[in-house]
Amino acid sequence: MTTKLDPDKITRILNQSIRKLDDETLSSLQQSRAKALQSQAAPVRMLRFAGNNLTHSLLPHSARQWVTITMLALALAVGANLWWQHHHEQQIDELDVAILTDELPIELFID
Amino acid sequence: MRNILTAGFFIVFLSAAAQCAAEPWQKLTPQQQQALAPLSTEWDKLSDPQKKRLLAVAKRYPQLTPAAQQRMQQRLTLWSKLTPEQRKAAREKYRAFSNIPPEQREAVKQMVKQPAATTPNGSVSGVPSTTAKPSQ
Repeated sequence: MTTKLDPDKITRILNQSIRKLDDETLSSLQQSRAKALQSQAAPVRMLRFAGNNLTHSLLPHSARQWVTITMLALALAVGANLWWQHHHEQQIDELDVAILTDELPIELFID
Repeated sequence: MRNILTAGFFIVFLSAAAQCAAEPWQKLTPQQQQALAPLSTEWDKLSDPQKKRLLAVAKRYPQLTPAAQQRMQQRLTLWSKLTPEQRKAAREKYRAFSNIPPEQREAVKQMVKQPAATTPNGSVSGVPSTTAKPSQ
């Protein structure tokens, strides 16, 4: 026969038992409980610490680092823009050569 | 690190500035002057962007066939007289023309190359001229 355990009843029974324990045993139990709680919270604290450390290390710490990163980003943007312009200019040059040398008369393409 | 970045910026800006400068006719190389010969008298009057564009075209000149070189030189004067908008429109038309199927492109080329048939009225297009004398 199985009986359904009532959590409140178990708590009352345990609390009654604790009152009957001697101080030494009670102290020992309290220390074990505290240690168990600490070891459960440690992995969470470690993860949070590791995450904070990573973002903390990636973000710039000083104005000088901010300036460096901004200048790097600007240089990248300028470089990309120059490359795109160069590519665009090359395409136009190829079109000009094609129009000037095609077998079809140039008047066909001029209004 | 800062010195490297500063040097990098200088290089980028100097190269951009160098690209903007255009040489006067006397300072062009013989190959450039040969390619752009029809523009020798007008060269110094052209704008810097236009000169830059024509110099880029002249760079391809040695790689062209003799027939293509001749066509290019014949068209250079007309091309240089167009406004930037007209040149842009011409490029757009040519780009659109290049995108049509090869068979249609060839058909257009044949149409243009065929000599126009003459009519009894003597007009080229087939439409009688208003000054044509009535046949007797």
